[in-house]
This record gives sequence, structure tokens and C-alpha cells, in this order.
Amino acid sequence: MSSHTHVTQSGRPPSLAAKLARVDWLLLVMTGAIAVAGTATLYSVAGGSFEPWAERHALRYLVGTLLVLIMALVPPRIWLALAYPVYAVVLLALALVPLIGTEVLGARRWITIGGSLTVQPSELMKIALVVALARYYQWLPAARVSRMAWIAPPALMIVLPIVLTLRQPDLGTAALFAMLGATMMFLAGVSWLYFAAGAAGLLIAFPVAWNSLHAYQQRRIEVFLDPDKDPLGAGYHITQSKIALGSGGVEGKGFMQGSQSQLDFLPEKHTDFAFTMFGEEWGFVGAMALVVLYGAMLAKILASALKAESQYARLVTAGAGLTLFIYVFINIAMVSGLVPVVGVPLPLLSYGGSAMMSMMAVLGLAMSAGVHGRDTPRRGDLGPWW
Amino acid sequence: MQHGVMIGPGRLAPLAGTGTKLDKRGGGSPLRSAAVAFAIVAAFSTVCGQLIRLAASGGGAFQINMSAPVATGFARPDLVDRNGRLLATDVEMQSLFADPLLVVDRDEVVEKLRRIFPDINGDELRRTLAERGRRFVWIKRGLSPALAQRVHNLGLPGLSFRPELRRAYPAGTLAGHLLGGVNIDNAAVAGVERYLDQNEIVDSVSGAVQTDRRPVALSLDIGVQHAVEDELAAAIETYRAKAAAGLVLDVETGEVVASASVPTVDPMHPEKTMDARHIDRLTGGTYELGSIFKLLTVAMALDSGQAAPESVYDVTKSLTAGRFEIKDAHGAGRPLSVAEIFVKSSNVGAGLLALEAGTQRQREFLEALGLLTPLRTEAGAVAEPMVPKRWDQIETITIAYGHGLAVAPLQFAAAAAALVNGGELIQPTFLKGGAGLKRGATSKHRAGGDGARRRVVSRETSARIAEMMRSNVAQQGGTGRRADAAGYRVGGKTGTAEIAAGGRYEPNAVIASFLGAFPMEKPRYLTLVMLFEPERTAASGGEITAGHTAAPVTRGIVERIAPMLGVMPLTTEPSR
Repeated sequence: MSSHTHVTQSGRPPSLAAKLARVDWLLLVMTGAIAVAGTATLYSVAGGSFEPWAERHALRYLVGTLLVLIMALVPPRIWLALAYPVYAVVLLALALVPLIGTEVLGARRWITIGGSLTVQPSELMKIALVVALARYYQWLPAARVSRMAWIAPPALMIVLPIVLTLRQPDLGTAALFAMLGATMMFLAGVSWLYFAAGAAGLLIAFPVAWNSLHAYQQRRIEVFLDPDKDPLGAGYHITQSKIALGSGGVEGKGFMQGSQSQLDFLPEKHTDFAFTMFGEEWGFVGAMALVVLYGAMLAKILASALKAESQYARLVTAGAGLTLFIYVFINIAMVSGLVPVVGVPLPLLSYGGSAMMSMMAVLGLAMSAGVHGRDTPRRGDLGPWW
Repeated sequence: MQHGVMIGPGRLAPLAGTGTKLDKRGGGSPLRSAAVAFAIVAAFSTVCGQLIRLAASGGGAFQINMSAPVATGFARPDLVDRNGRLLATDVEMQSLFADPLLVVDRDEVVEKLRRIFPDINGDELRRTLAERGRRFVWIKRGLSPALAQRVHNLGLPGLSFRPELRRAYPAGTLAGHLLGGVNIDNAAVAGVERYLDQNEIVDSVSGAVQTDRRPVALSLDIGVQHAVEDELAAAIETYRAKAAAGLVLDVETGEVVASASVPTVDPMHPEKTMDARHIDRLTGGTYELGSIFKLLTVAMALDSGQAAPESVYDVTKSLTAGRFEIKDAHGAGRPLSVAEIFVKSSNVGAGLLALEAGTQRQREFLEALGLLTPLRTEAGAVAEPMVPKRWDQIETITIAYGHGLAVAPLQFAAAAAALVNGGELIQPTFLKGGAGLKRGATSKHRAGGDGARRRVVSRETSARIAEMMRSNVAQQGGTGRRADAAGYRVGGKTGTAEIAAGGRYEPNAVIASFLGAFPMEKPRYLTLVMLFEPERTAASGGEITAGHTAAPVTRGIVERIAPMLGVMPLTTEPSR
């Protein structure tokens, strides 16, 4: 506490070199390794060509790395100041998607800006939600954390984007918001009782929720429970993905040799099923290496969250870790047949600009918190809660 | 401390105390962090466990067999004639199918395909393509390369080809009845093709995999077969007959060298044989064959020793049996020898010979010739003989001249072959070498041991019969003299059988038959020519009898086929 005051009082922010020295370079190396695996996989998906995916994937990763570094150098006070306005703008964009959005593959999730640039507000919302929740709990005194009145604002911040993404419809992202938000509130210290009550409420609400799901969403869950019921229809994705992963065996079929993938049995292998593609060609060894790499990234991020010196730094870092975890877990669990197909990409491996950038941006926020340590505005400097 | 914070994460460890303050502020944070960490580790473990399970399964548990929905066909060996000339072969053709899931625009697909295949049922195809779960729907099978290219050029997604084997018959309709045919899956439906399936001389294959089996050689000679079919078709024109049938049989081996029934049937449409007009008249129907049966009656009389060719019978009086009275239409007005009975084709004489032998003997003799029990060949079952339930004196008389017992012409020809080949019963066969069926296998009465021929008449009887047949053609006044192909020593017997219709015989609707053989000094080939309901024409001198119709047709056939069969024409009659 005293050290914090010291820094602000001294008016002597850390030098650029000092900041760069504090950047978690090892974490960046890990992201680089995964991005290389992703580029190789996309090269293979295209039948041995950098076009149309591998080259752009690599380029995006480089741009994303630059983004991480720039964001890491921006002091948290800037992010705290931007948190609510950005959240508000993204929420508005999310609300506007059904009205002005661009439809791709039957889902209206994108907004086109300036003719050619398309952005996915739901991806931006992941960043906005993490920062907004972190800012809220940075401001909120510990004593009020579990009070009903002070639970309502963050709960609303979480529920609004969930409702809006469910209407797109995007079940996967909505589930991510719910898991991310709830875990952040949990880490912020909200009483266990609320979570117990929430879980009970979900159980009771399940039948209602089930009926409000789209028929295709219901069918996905039904088929997920027994994919062999319809191996050539709705269960096709899961079944083919499982075949591909299994047929890779221990050592894999070799780069560019995956028959399930190369022969087009596998759907969406450049995006949601990129892990399957990788797993078939590199085998169990390759798949596990990838999982271990993600696990190591996660461990590093969560370790730095534990060491964080402010509620903001702790929550924003944990938020980044959770975002990574939820993506990785849902995607791999999905392609290996553990959870229904919900359309979640694998960070850094799957092709997709918005997903790559939002992941890198969240990492950038966490990096910023890590680099600047105690250089985080206290409650008193934040003014009113909004 | 401050510097420690600034320099590196590793130096943050001593700040744990500060962290605790934050944790207190957050409310039991270590426990919560541990809970979250535990959940994450558990989730990762679950995923790893699943990956291990999948790797261990090797994908086998989830294997989907691509070939499952695709029909399996058959690869068939070539069919060739006795000289190795091609009669049937498998060719690779493209079969068009659709994957409804991949079809983008059903209406476009249906509309464009209908432009190439106008016979496609558009509504039905549209409905089928709507069932996107089916993934495999045949649209048109066995396309020619040109048609397949046209479909390919449409560039419609969801349409694909599978190469398949299709049976082709390069000789067209030639020997169509006999060859039979195959269905859409290249499985036989009739004829010799069916024999291949029943004896597993075909291979079950998926796709266009040619069999490596050796060609199956038939007993047929394409040249002879063509000549017979050609002459029969001409005869139908000349004598305005409804149909015609012709058979050339090797009396030594039982091999059928030609077997024709006109109108012919295209083996590409084997179902046509079911149509009454297109049936195979040699094997598919039984007929009262008339006077050619006298061959059997005379042979029976000679073989039992009851009569010699010179024995004389009084045929001037009509025969009465019950309410029937049998007399010769153009009676000689004097008693006739057995040889004359044969040449002049006397019904009364034949009846007398049969009565003399008795019903029992006649029945045994016909039984021995295999005329009373079903016959099978490689081309399938021959129509079963229609044996009268009551077989008394009257039946004995009528059967003696070919009425009252209806048999398939092939079955009769096989019996007649035994009378001219020296007296041994043969099994007619459609395979070269006759390896197909043993005659004894189908009838216990005919069991003659493995391959051993069973003698039915003596050599001498056979020689006498041959002599009579030859004189019937060579002599002035013989009924078969119009069959005398110059130099080829043809012998034979005519038969003009009135067709029974509505309980009575119709005098102007006859089956005119000529049973011939050549060269008569040592008969090798037997011919049977049948004209169904010929009309009285100028060409036949206003006659419908076999001597004026079937006999000259036989001459035409023999003149064409004898050179092919290696029978040399002689200017002087050889002695036996």
C-alpha cells in the first residue's frame, strides 16, 4: 500500500526499458509456439498451401503480438478510465447486431465497418466484460462485495451480453460470458451462498431454458448425448471428429497425411475443428503437447494473478486466464466428444481474426497489469462507481 | 522492496504479505483461487482422459464403412461361342448417383437432368433429393461415356458417378433366348447367364472390377446360329408364319450348335421372353408335334423285332378306338410296308405298329427316350412334357403319330438324336464339351452312370431309321424331298400337326415341322425346323404341310451351315 502511494507520489513512472523487462516474454514464446502449430495446421488444411489461411493466420499473430506489447505498456489507469465507456459502446454494438449485422453461415454476428472491416461485437465484449468487472471490484470496498445491492450491477453487466448473444444466436459465446463473469465474481469474493443459489436456480430453470432453445440447439445436445443415433446427420461432426482423433493413434498420421481431414470428412477444420486436424496428423503425442502448452500458459497467467497487487490486476489477469481456459476447454472437449458442438474456436490455433485479436487483447490487458504492478489507481482515484 | 517489485515477477515472492491484505479484502481468496484452480485442473484432466481414450480406440469404434450404402454387383466371365467368338462381356460404365446433402438446388438438378434423360420422373427425384439424410440415391445406371460426360459438364454439386460393370451382348439379339440376360446389378435373370450364377461362376464385386475368370465357351457356333436365325426370319416372311424355331444338334455329343426361336429376344431385355409371342419355342413350350413322332413309333417297332422295314400292314381300313375313327387322308389304297408307312406318313400304319407293341411297351420306350420326365439344360428347365393322364388304346394310337403327348421340341430332338447316332441317349447341352449337366442327374430313370451313355435302340435299328429318313428325302414321292440339299445327304421326317384350340383341331392352323439329319451315311447333325401357322402361299404351292414349308427351309439352312460344320458335299451318294 505504501509502495503504491510512493510511486504515484513520486510522479516518476517506470521507464520503457523497465516496462519491457517486466513483460512476460516466456508467455509470448508459448503463444508463438501455438501460433506456429496453428499456421502449420492451416497450411495442411489448405492441402499444402499458405493460401488462404496459413499466411493470414501468421500475420494476424504478429499483429496480435504487437498489440499485446502496446497494451502491456499502457498503464492500467488508462484501461480503468476506458472500462465503462468501452463496455457501453460494445454493448450497444451487440444490441445493434440484429439490426445492422452481416449474416454469415446463417448467424448474424458481425458488423461491417467502413465497407470491408468486419468485427464481431461479441468478441470485443469478452475484453470489455473482463475490464469492466475488474474495474468495478477495484472500486468496490471489500465489505460491500457480498451485499445484494452491489451484486446487481456486475450481474447486470454479465446478463445483458448473455441475452444479446443468445438472440444472435450464439450459445457458445453466451455460455462463455456466463462462466467468465460468474468465476470473476467468485474470485472477487462474492459469497458462496449466491453461487449455490444460482446453481439451484439454473437446475430449476433448465426445463424452461430447454424449451427456449432453438430446435437445432436442442438437437445438438440430444445428438451429443448419443451421436451414434444419427452418425450421418447431426452427429456427423462429432463422429467424424472422434474418428479423426482416434485414427491419429499415438504418433499421428504425419503432417499433411490425415485422411479424415484431407479427404474432407471433417467439417470446419480450419476453425472449430483445427485441433482435430492437428490431432490426426500429429497423433496423441502432438495433441497432448498442445494441451500441455495451453496448460503451461494458463498456469503462468493464473500464477501471476495470484501474485497481483491490486484487485484490478488480479481480476483482469484471472479474466484473461479464464477466457483462455474456457475457449481451450470447450473447444477440445467439443471436438473430442465431451460437450456438444457449440462453435468455439481454439485460441491461437483456429483461423479467425476476431478470436485471435480478442485473445491477444485480453492477454495484453493482463500483461499491462503485470508490467505496471502497483501502478494502479486506488478506489479514491476512481471517483464514483460508474 | 519497491525495486524488487519493479524488476521482475520472480522478486514478487516476498510480497506475499501484501497479497494477503488484498486477499482479506477479497474475502477468503486463497481458498477461492484453489477452488478455481482445482476446477481447471479437473477440466484439463477430463479432456486429457478423453484424448487418451480416443487414441487408444484407434478410431475403430467409430468407423463408418463407405461402401455400405452402395449396391454390390457381379463380375461375370465372358461368354464365347464354340470357336471363341464373343457373345457376352462385361464393360465398365458410369452410374450416376446423388448425395442429397450436397445438392444445392434440387429444382436445377432435376430440370437439367431431365433435359438429358427425359424419362426421369421429375417429381419423384425431387422428393428423393429432399431426403437429405439419405446421402446416396441412384439416378441412372449404366451410362455411356458420352452421356456421362454430358452430365459431368452440367457441373452440378452433389452428383457423382460410380463405375459399374454392365453386361454387353456384342452379337445383339443373336441367341438371345439362350443367353438369357442380367438385371441392373449384373445378376442373371435367365438362360445360360443364370447357369453361371447358380454354379457360382460369377464374382460379387463392388464397383467396376472385371473378373479374371476364363471365358465360358458355349456349344453354339455364331455362324450357324446366325444362318438359322436368318433362314427362319426369311421363312416367316415367305410362308407368312406366326413364328419359327430351328435347332441344330450334334447327335454325337449332345451339343446344341444353334438354337433359334423367331421372333428373337434381345438379351438386354430378357423380360420379353415372358411375352407369349416371344417365348423360346424350343424349350419354353410343349407342342403336339405330329408325324415326326412316327420316327419313334417305327424305331420302337423295329427295335423290338416285332416288325422289319419290309413287314406289311393293311392300312386300307380305318382304325376305330371308342368313338374315334382314324384314317389316312390320302390313303395309298393298298397295304404298306413299314418303310412305306414312314415315307408316306400313314397315321393308320403308325397306329397299327403302336397297337401291336401295346400301350405298356410304347410308354416304356418313350420313357427310355426321356420324353415323359422333365428335362433340364444349362439354359434352365425345359417345359415339362404333358403326359396324358389316361393312356389307353386310343392314346396309344394317337401318340403313335404325334398327338396326345405334348413335349418341348428340344426334348423331342434329343430323343430323336438317339435314334440316328447309333442308339445312345444324349443329354442336350449348351456348353462346349457338354460339361454342364449329366443326363442322369435329372431323372433317376435315365441314370446311366457317370458319363456313360445309355443305349435306347440297337445300332441296327438306328441304321434302318437313318436309311428311311434318307429315302424320305431322296426318293421321288417322299414327303421330305424338298429338304434335299444337294450333296449333303439330308434325311428327315415331316410333321404337320393341327393345333388344338377350344377342344378341337383347327385344320388350317398347323405346326409344320421337319426333323432332319445329315450326312445320312453317318449322321452327325440333327436339325429341327418348325413353322408355326404358316399360310397357303404361292411359294409353298398353296400348301401348309411341312413338306412344302419346313422341308425347303431345312434345305436352305443345311446348304448354309454344312460348310461351316465341315461337312463336305458329295456328288455321288456314299454307301453306308
